[in-house]
This record gives sequence, C-alpha cells and structure tokens, in this order.
Amino acid sequence: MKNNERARLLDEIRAIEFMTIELNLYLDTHPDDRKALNDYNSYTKQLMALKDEYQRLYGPLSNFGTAVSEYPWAWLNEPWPWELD
Amino acid sequence: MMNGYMYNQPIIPWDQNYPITSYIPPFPPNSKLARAYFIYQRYTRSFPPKEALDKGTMFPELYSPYPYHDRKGI
Amino acid sequence: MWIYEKKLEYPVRIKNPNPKMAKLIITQYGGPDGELAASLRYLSQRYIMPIPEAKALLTDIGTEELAHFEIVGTMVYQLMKGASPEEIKAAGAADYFVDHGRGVYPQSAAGNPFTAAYIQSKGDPITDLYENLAAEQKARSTYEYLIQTADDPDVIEPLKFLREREVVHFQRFGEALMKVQEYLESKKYF
Repeated sequence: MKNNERARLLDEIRAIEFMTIELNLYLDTHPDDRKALNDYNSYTKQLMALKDEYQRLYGPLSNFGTAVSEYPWAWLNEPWPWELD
Repeated sequence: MMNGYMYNQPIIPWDQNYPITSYIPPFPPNSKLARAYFIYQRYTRSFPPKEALDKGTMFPELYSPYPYHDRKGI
Repeated sequence: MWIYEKKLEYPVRIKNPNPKMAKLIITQYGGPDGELAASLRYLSQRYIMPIPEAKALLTDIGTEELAHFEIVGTMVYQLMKGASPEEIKAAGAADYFVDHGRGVYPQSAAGNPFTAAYIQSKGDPITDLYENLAAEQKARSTYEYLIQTADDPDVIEPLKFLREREVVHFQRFGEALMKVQEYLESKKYF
C-alpha cells in the first residue's frame, strides 16, 4: 500500500537523519574528531539519497527552495507531521 | 560529572571489559575552585540508526534509560 | 535563517485521546522548563558567544529544541483530538477548552501563559552556559514526572526520547563550558 511505503521510507529517513543530528552536535564540540566527521559525511550522503527518492515519489520534504515540485504545488501534500497516516 | 540517572540502580557499565570508572581521569592538576569541570566524551562506538533513534542517542555511554514503568509492583 | 522539514524528529502516533494528559504535557510546550523556553533561550544567547564551537552548538541545539516543541505540540493535538466536551469536562480540562477548544496554546500545566520570564540571556557566556545546564536538568526532571503520570505507551515512548535528548544536551553544554572557560582564561580579559 502506498501509505505504508511512504511511512516506511520516512521512518528510514528519520533514523539516518537522527545520526546526522547526533554527530552534528558532537562535532560542534569535537571539531577535529576524524571518525565522527567521516561518519557524519557518510550518513549525510545516505540521507540525501533517501530524501531524493522520497521527494521524487511524495513531493518536497522542505520548503523555500530545497526541492522542486510537480504540478499542482506539492508542498501542500498531506499528511502533515502532526497527523496520523 | 557523571550522568547516572538509572532509577534506584547503580551505574552499570555498558561494556564489562571497558568499565566507565576505570577511565575517568582524576581532576587535572591545577584545577581551580569555584568552577565546574566536565569530562569530554570520546566517540568510539555507536548504536545502529533505528536503535539510536529509539533510545534517543547513538552513544552507549550517554544512554541513560528511565524504566519507571518496567519496575515490579508499579 | 530557518527552513522547515515536514517530518517529526521522533514519530508521534497516539491512538487514544486523553485531555487530562494533554493538560499536563502542554507544560513542555509553553511552560517554564519546556521546549519553547529552551529554544528561545539558546537562540537568544548565541549572539554573544566568543568561540565558534559555542555559536554552532547553541544554534544547533536551539534548532533541535524547535523540533521538540513540534513533537510536544503534536502530542497535545493528538491527545485532544476526538475527545468530546463531556470527556474534556470530566478530565478537568474544561477551563482550557473554553479558551482554546482542542487547539494548542503555549502555557504551563498550571495554566500560566508562556513568558520570556522563564528564560535568561545574561550576555555573559559563562553565566549563560550554566543557565543552560540547569535548564536541561529541569527539562529532564519534568519529563520524568510526566512519564510517571502517563500510562499509554504511545505517550511514554516520545517522552522517553525527549528526556534522553536532555541528557545528551547537558553533556554538550558541559563541553562547550570547558572550551569557553579555557578560551577566556587564555585571553585574561574581563
């Protein structure tokens, strides 16, 4: 079902993005930690690929020029984050 | 400062061969009064992404569970 | 500046309305130790930080707190959604209902509207970082009290996530404090 696939892909994005958030905060106070930086970049590349796939199928994940939209304006697409699928 | 928030339990090292207490350095010489000191975290190991999100951190040494509802008799 | 990502940092899928719980959880939305207070505190303090590590950290944690603000708002929304006025009245939330319906309004559990009096931005990097350490502990305690009062796993899981984030932020602010203290001591200005 399309909705289950959308939710599954979004959950995967959530998990990978969380790693980038954690590593981002760690790197802010440990800017010369090579391992952390390598892992951050690796997760970031993975995240960008996942977001490309999600946005291709379901429309923009972010506003203000982060991704292009099909017609009609897909940024309006539901559900919004506070709504259940 | 230690982050041992486990409810009514001693701090349990996540890796028995790398106990937390053995690598906390003593206060450095020339430590001053009237200020706080923090130990810098050093990233070595990580939970995998889904587990990290579920727990709220990727770092085992910062994981501080709050199993309030898992206690018997509650 | 900020852009917005159309997803929650941690998913919230609450199946059973509970207006009593909504009225308590709202304290982490607009209350003294809540996510809005945390976000405004850190985003306001970052301007006067003397080192880039602190500027980055306050910006990033301030931004993550907005993501948490969104999670808590979602929890309140889902806990009120579908509750009848009778259920709301029985839950003791009629006073909130008459002013805000089933909407989400930044206030504490006691009903006090959000105020900047909940935060401090002292313009002194050392003072501000100690304020932030205290803020993360206050938030952690509040989440523990909320977890104690909750009994729905759909509610408890996001609360546990948010509580653990406070523990991580506390460590980061501690590291930033060390760096700022070392920097200021090396400069010997006042």
